Amino acid sequence: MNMKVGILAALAALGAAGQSPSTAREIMQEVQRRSFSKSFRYDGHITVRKASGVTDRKTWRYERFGPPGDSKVMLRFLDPAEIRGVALLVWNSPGKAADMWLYTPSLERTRRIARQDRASRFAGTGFSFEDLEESDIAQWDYSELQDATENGEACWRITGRRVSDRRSLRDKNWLWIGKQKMTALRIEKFRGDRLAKRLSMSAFELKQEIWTAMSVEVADLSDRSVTTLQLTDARYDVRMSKSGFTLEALRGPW
Amino acid sequence: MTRPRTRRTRGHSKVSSGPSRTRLSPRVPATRHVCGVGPRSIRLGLIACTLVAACLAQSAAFEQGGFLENRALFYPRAGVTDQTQRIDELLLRWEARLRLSEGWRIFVGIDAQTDTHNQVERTWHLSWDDRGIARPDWALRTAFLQYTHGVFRLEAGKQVLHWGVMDLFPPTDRFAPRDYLSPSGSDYLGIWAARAVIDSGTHSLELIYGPRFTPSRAPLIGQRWVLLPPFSPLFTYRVDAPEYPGGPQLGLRYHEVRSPFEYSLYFYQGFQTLPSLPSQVNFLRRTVDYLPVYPQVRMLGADFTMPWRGLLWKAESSYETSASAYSHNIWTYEAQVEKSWDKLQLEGGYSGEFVTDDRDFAALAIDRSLRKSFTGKVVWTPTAKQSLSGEWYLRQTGAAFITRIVYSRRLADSLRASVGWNWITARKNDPIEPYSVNSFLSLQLRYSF
Repeated sequence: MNMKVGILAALAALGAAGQSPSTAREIMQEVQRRSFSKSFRYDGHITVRKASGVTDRKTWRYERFGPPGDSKVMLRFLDPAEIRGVALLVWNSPGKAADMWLYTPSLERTRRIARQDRASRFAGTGFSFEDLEESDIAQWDYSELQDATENGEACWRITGRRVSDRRSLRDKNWLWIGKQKMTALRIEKFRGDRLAKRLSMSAFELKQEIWTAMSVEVADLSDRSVTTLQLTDARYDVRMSKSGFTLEALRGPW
Repeated sequence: MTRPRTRRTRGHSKVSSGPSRTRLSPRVPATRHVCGVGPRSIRLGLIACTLVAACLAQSAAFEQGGFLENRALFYPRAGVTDQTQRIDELLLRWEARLRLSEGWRIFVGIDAQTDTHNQVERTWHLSWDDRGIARPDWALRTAFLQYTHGVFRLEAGKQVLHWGVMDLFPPTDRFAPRDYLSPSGSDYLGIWAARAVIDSGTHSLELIYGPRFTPSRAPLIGQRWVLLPPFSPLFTYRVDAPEYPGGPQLGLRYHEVRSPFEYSLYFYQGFQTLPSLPSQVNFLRRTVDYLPVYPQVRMLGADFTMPWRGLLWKAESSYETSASAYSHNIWTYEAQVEKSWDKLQLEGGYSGEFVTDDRDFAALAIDRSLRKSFTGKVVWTPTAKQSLSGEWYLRQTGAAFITRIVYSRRLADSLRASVGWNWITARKNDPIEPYSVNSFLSLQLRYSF
């Protein structure tokens, strides 16, 4: 009996894997399913290049606890010494905007980031606070499915609009999803009709059966700066504790 | 630059400025370091620390950092009691942590400092308890053991604690003593305490027990930030050695995140960290003696944070009662609103108080001097390397205005320079008016490592 159930489950899984998603939402559901992990950790090396040619380097440690969309994220700067210990805590919840707090050790203050302020830059990088949010796909409306090519790789181009926030209804994202890797290769963010930011993923590596972009480039078109994030020591399903993602842990000494 | 003839012995001052002027003198022998170690021990300790740090630096379980900071203050005008117009302060802060095992960690922080204005001792002693009147040249800022198990955390030892969500003087911030010796930045002092926290994420409960009182470090008598009541120039003003209270301090805080808002409730029973100054006048001897006392107080408080209509709203309030004749029953409240853009951050608010039981005594209530005022702050960060900020306090009657404008620029990866102008102006009869001569320019250079 158990063997029969096992065979049926395997056949069902094979059948599910064989079906190709046909709508934009199904594609995004598949992207989320394939990137599922209980936790994720990496060290991020950031280089910010200004239009003037000035460069700025920073390093942070990123830790996610919980599956994407229903996770808690702690991001703590390791370098340079001046901002070591500055930390961002993000609580992602299904169906609603994330809660965010920023801790500044020099002031010994924790500041809540208001939802309306999340388009602002994070710590002088090209990332905004909302770029570091991991909202689940239930908060988005996906449409305009098109075939496209990105760096010679066949992909879909999908338009995503956030439906959980009335303020950003006019804003949209274009997502290029690789058909083979089933992960985002490029994201373009529009404010109204104006292209504001372009995120390009590259240097993909298969980490614990999840295609992971080890390099992310963020081009901010408003000030023509380019931020590059290089991932090292990226690991999924690392043993973590929920207690490491509280306000108490955020305020804890670096 | 002129300086009064100043002699300071372990933090007590004696300023002799001529027979026709008010004289201030200590009445009792200087405070001893109740807890401290001598020069030889410091040298040996430093050598041991360096060796241990060098060995541990190779280990991932050990992390360290800190900064070296030089602050120069320029006062364009001579003070009422203090003629010094240029002061330089040098501070080295080193902090380290060591992970002993999965749930155990040790944290240590040490300050070493000196200055040109004799506000820092020259005793080459390591202060464990921050009870001296002047700044110690060597101080153990933090030294605590942390144990974490699931949602439970226990920290025991010397640690920096503070409460509240407001920026400058949060009404609920009763545990945290501060260093008010210099206006260039009122740094928090560590206190000896045990702190237990249960934090489930959305709910947290914090219990603090402080067995030993740590006072705030008040401005020194005879220097420009202390102006005693002008009773008469013919009198000698004397400040007795403070009587530190002996009982414990207790604190309880409950915090809940109920997205999108969050709030905290507070209870505190302990002591004021700034002294009240009851005085005794002897007309025969022409002396006025002040006895610094730290009254016992009890406080209930709350704070609330909520995003609304595109802004972040914060409110914080406390009600403090005391059975002592040298402390008021006082309700303090503060409201603030914030907004951030890419390169600009704005804050505005109001800070008020209501004394329900006014008692007549002198006090060094530095936190109260900025109450009943509208506050604001603007920070503009055009690039990651530089920022320009301005903050101000405007008395609700318009009688006093204090502002600070600071330009800060990163010169190299770990080196930052800041220049600031602090301007104090007030109408006659406002308590801040005598301090108008204390407007100053500050230059700060910080190397972080």
